[in-house]
Amino acid sequence: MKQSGFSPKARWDRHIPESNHGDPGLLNEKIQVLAFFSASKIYPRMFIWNNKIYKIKSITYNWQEHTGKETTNCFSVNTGLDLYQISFNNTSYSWKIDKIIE
Amino acid sequence: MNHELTMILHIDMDAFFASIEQAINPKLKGKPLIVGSRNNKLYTVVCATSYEAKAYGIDSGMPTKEAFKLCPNLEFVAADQSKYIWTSEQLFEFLAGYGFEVAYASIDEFRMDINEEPDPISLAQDIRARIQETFNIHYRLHRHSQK
Repeated sequence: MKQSGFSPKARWDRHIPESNHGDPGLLNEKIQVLAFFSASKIYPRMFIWNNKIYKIKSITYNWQEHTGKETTNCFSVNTGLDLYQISFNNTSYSWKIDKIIE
Repeated sequence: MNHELTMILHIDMDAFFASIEQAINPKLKGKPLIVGSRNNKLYTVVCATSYEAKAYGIDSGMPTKEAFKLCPNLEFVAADQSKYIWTSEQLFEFLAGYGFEVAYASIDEFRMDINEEPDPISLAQDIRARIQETFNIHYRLHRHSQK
């Protein structure tokens, strides 16, 4: 079969990052998370942000971001009331709340 | 001259970016949604639309200001390439797992050489079911032959 030579990363080569990815709602705050690590997958179950506990009812989506050698696992999570984006940095082993998804 | 036919399965993800955003935020499902190339609602360009937005005549490449004139209740999400690239790579790996030669046609389209497959219809149905289950996004499958 003829290969197109397409790379999914190629179309973004000219992307110019904006501060906060152009997102004024970016929180970028450290949080504490209770999560299960199983078969190379991560399942966050609850997080503590500003001394408040948020129980996660479902993970609606997850994906990875790569910055140099660092890999960040991102999760959009539903607490039943709101949707949040949280992330786990595989290098620093730290969790962050990225934003409230509106 | 070689007249041998090659059977290709073309997997085309529907409204790829919008579909991913709707999977992330279920509140956006069934709503007219545009994905903007930058996080500036009225001063950017539509880079993807949901089917509900397409029904208003909104399509990729249109200025968002024009899109909001056509549909004032339009939902807007700024593009986040990492989600789309990751999902595209996962889809590629998933399809390659079937053991056939797979090639990218674009970030959301794949071609699978299924010439050796005795039952292409069952294969297509299996791919359809597993993509829906694993990725929760929409897609179309086309089977075609080429010389």
